[in-house]
Amino acid sequence: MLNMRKILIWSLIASFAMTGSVVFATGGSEAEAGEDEPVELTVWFGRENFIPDDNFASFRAKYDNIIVNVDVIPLEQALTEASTALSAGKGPDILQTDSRRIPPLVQANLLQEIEAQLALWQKEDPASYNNISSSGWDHATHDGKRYGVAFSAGPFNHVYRLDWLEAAGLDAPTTWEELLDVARALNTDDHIGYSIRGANSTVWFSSHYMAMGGKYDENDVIQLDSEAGIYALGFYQTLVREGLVSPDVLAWGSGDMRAAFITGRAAQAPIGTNIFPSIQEELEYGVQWAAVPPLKREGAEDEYRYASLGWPHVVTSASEDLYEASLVLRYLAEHDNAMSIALRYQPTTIMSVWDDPAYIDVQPWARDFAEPLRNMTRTPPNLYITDMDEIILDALGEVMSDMNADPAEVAARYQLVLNDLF
Amino acid sequence: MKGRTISYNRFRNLVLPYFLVLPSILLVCGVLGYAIVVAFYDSLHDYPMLATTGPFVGFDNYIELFGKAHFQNAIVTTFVFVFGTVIVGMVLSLTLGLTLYNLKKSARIFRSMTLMPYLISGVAAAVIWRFLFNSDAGFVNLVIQTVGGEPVRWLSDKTNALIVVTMANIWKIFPMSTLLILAGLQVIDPDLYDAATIDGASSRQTFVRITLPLIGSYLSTSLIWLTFASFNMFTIIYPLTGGGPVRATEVMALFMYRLAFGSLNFSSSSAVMIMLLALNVGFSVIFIKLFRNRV
Repeated sequence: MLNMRKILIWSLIASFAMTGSVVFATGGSEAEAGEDEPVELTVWFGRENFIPDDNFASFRAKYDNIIVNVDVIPLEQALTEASTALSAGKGPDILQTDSRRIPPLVQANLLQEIEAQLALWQKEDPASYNNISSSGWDHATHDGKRYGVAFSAGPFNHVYRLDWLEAAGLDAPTTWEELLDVARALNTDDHIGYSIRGANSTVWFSSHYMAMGGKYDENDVIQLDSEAGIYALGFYQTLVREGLVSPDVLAWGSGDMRAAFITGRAAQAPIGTNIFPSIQEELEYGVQWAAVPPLKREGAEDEYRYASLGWPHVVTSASEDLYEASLVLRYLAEHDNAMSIALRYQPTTIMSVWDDPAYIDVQPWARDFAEPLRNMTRTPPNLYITDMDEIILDALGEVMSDMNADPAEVAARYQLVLNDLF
Repeated sequence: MKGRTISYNRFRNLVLPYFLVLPSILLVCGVLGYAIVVAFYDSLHDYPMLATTGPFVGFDNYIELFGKAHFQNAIVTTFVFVFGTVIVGMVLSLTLGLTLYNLKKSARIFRSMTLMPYLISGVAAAVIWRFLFNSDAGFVNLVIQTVGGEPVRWLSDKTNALIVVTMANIWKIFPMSTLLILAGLQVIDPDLYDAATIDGASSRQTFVRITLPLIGSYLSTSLIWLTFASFNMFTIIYPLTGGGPVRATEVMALFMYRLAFGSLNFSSSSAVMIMLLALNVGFSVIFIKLFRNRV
């Protein structure tokens, strides 16, 4: 009887020890994922277009104990809705947001850094982990800590009418000054030389500014009162002063700007890669139109940066199942899932997609952009990004509406306001 | 038995009406009242970005707002926009109301048509107006050019953009005030007009001495409608101009939206909401008192 009891006790100790060693060896990962107890995760996507074609079918088949609830909360509303929901303890586990909004989310303690889970990912599936470009990680990082991954990051590019340039005997511009020369040459009664939007969004301006060699200070505040800043403001003013853009430019939004190029009313424009398929529906790439990353400024070639916007999936403070959340991120990083989004919407940060013949076949510009996409830089965010945007727009609006305004004076004046933010 | 009848009649006359309006009052207090109380509370606190708690700061948020050039601009723009709408909207409403009242044939069709702008969503209305006033291919500029004029920069010029936005707002909201005035005209006893005619009153005297005083309460309701619909207008301005060019059409409602959902400053945006509410209530009281004395 005593022996039987001893055997039972030792059997229990041995089984506990074995279970413990398995958990220890896997870092609590495989064991957790394999547990029968179901885990429920809620994932918010910022656009319907960011959901892979597979729509989690293969994920559900692989992990039958993980229930994934998918919802689409527009990027514009994601922040306020997430903060309300998370404050009530009912927020999503994974949230997709504009990477420029990461600082306020971190400051409000609404995100969790997931370095440990990412290390586990790297260990368990190095091929998938190493397939993500540096900008994919950058867009989900704040103060050196990673809160998720961006699987989509999109830059603005310089698109131009190749056929018109050839007909006019002009070479494609390589600098901003050459862009102005081309705009002057191709500015006619039928079409404008360059198509831009009014002073109502900063993301295009920021792309120009960074390509012109513009810098941000230690607080990630734009330096308007710098050579690049003054040049950028002067560039916009020149476009308006010389009538190289629409006389209605101050009222133009992104739709007007893009439509002008697509419908043959503009010779050049700054357009995001996600719009290329729409251009291709009207014009043939390599024959009628072409695209390159934003141009360089003469004398500031070394300071050139290819700016991008990113839409990372970040893990929120509400998530209790970090390993399972990281499995969702791994699923989104899969080649086919990333490609399905890149084919119909924004460029991906999953590098294997860029060289995929099926991808290049559908998107003829993909080969030209494979290399530049590896060198994209995140547009620096900060806690007061919206206030900073408002100030930039005021400065931009002033130089675009007042032709007597001195860009240097405007830059200096608004820089003081910008510096007051911190 | 008589005593019971008296107490029932007293109950019916004094208490029953309050019982009947109680559900509405509870609904308004529950939905609107709660929002107002919370907004006022929020406006007296300084919440960090995306937070729902913060220190009490009294009226600092209000004081800070008045010191901001953008808010000052929004106040001026709002008053130009609201008074432009109210003045032109009232003249149009009164004119159209009288016209519809005097229509003898197909009156119902015209009355229904009058309501159409009001039935269209604000965003759709904005898109229509954007097409109309597009500088390149807008209908208005095509007409101007057809008669030999130069195309006008409607939406990219600061003054013109505010005029277009105000016109679009009037077009959208004045049908409701027209119907209110029409309702007032329809309840005037026709015998009063007959008596005035027998007494030799002119059309002008009849209008000023009989029509206007008797539709006074309807006029005040119309004014209140035009005022608060304009103070709160967002759905037309945002898609039509986005507050531009260069903040020329940025009214307080738009400023509040940007403060809340752009800058994530819920405390200050709540302060703007309370100020908008105070303006709406203030003007409503003025209009009600103004016309109560006249009737």
